[in-house]
Amino acid sequence: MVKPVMVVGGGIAGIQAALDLADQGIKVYIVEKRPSIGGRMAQLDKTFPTLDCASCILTPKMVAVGRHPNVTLLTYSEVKEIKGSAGNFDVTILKKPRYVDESKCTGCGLCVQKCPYKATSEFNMGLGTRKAIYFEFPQAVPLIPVIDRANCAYFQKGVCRVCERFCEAKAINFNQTPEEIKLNVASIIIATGFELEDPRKKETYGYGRYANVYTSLEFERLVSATGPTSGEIVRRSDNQHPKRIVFIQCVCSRDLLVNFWCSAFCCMASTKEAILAKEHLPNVDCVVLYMDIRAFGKGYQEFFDRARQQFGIRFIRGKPAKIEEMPESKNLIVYYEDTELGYLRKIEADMVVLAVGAKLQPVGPAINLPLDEDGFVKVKNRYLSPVETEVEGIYVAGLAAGPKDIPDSVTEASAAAIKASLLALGGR
Amino acid sequence: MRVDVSFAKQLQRYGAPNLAICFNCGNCTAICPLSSESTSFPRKQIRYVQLGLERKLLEVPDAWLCYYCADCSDTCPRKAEPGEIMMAIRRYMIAKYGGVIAKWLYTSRLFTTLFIGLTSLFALFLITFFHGSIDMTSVRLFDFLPISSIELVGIALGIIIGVTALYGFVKLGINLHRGIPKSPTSTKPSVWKWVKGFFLTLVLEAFAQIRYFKCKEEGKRLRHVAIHVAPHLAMLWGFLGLLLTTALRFTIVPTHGEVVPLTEPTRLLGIVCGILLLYGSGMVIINRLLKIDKSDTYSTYTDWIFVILLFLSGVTGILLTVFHYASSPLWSYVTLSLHLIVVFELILLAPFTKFIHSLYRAMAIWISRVHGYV
Repeated sequence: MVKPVMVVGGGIAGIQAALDLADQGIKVYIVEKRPSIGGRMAQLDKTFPTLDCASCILTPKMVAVGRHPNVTLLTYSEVKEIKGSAGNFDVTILKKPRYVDESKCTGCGLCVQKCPYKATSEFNMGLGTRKAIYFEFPQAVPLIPVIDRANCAYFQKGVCRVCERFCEAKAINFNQTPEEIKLNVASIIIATGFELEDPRKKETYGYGRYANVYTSLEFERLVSATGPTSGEIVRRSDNQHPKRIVFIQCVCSRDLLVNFWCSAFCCMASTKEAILAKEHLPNVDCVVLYMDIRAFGKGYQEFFDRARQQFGIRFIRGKPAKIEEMPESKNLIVYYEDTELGYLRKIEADMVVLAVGAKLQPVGPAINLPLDEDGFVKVKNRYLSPVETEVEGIYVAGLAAGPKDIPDSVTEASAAAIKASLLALGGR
Repeated sequence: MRVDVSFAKQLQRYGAPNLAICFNCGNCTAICPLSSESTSFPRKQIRYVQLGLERKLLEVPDAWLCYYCADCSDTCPRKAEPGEIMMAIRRYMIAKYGGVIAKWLYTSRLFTTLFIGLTSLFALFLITFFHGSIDMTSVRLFDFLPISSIELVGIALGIIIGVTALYGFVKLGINLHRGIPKSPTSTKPSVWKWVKGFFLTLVLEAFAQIRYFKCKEEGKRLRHVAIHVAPHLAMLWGFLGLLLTTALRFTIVPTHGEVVPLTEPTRLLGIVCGILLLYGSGMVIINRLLKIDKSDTYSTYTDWIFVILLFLSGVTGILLTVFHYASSPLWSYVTLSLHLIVVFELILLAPFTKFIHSLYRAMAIWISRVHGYV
């Protein structure tokens, strides 16, 4: 008998693992806590080192997994409990109410259009707004909106119901309640991904205090065509194009006062972001302040060279110590030492982008896995079983196991899928 | 120039933490309130040590431009303690310019113990066998120890120590001068610039220590001034004031050991300065005991010796005054002897230990000022 597998997390790693399992004829449940699958990759504009559009790679996979007969998407859901052991896990999943009937909704989006209430957009990292009833992003899978109780006038004040009035499919259901789903699965793949460390921990950079200091993910949304400004790079303080953008590497990474580990993807991500800035604003001056450039993957060194030679991006070795904001212009003065020349320098920037390091996105209280000293999920053996956690039958893929780029996440996902399939097919 | 990796190990004997963990990110230089575009430290110094470029290290004034506020150590992403490395470089330079005695004092506890023990015994021996008459009915300090003997020992010691100190001072100056980059466009500073620089350094840097005030990120400056700058200034001014009163006592307003009214100007100055010295050195000792800031955390025994001697000289001086005014002959003679032994040690150790930093720092700032670095 072929038993099902549960994949926790619907990012690129979770999607890849699910597809690889489903194609073998194994039933897969993807549990995703956000309303749509897609994860971090959906938030990216382009990918390194080829500058391919991230959505163009990701969305076909999202659709493929969404339509796969062997895959069940449990979006807007969280794992509540895991019992049992390898080959026989009893899992309880809590499906949060969307207040939209998934079986009736056609995804026309009229409700979103008509909703009069706004809230800050999580997908856009707090830049820009969305409605109280919203799609996670335009290419969401499943394309079913969700009502955000905290910002919905009906839930808060008892009046409105505009969405209900306009919904032709009569899909709005304000009476939905949380639903518990019980599954029995052979194995589990953890692909819950990462979140950025809180850049406020590096106080001297003034994130949160200075308007024009951004995190890398915020900048990704800013340059993205699906972002809050439709790809227009403008400053938070005055909506003007920046003339000089300074990218700062290793923020809260490789820093013993915050996180000691290297976040792996930031060197290439910032290189890419600087290139994108140049593509959007050909006259912008891009400066990357780094400690070391780790161009480790295939084509990465060439990508880095291209950034310098073709796009004229300046890379200067030195970790900035502090940033000061000019009160009038809201420009930023970055203090750093050009360590190749050995002199202190101050550079004025219109915009600063912090390459904030990655840390584990909490996997939730139900999933109790041993963690490594860096806080990521611990694997049994880094060399020989890199996707096996210390709990038999539970596998890990992608950034939950440590910082890495998209190709490595996908590789791990396939590796985890084959491991998980062994139990599902009764081979072990 | 040759790379010498053993140099870092050598510097560890002067209290430098593990230098190898620094990966030269430059955070320390960029956070330093005293670092500027013309003099950038401490990372460059650390790099010199890592590479073993000893000559280069001795030719730049930067180690002496640092007052160790420890902003760098507090924010170092590698916890490499750059502030303490700078401190170790200063200790190393004192040892370097103080000859073999300084080197042994800084590197051997045994030698230090023997040196201080034996020289103190020697001073005690001088007092025990060469003191004058002991009047137990009234306090007659200068009958107990005639001024002429104190002067004799003082002048002899002063010459030896003075010459030694001057030697280190000049040698430092020559080395720093050699390190000034020579470019075809740069002109030699005029004599007037040197003279002006000297007086400015003396007043602004040596007496007022304006750079020490600036040495901390702005938000924490008030606390820094209260905890570190004020005690340091009190110690400095107390010591200089006491030096002045002593000099006056031996020249313009001599006494013969009799009790003068407390309101007498030199006496008053002496008491005020004594209290300043006690407060300053006492605070430094407390700070270092409590490790109140990063800059107070790593104290080598050579650091302790200097501040303890200063504190003891203040304590014995004040006690002597008290017993003198209380007309207690025996205790007056005992405290006078102790006071003289402590002061003897303080002067004797001056060119070989932390005391000499006052001169070296002044020299480095003077040269940097004249060449427009600071």
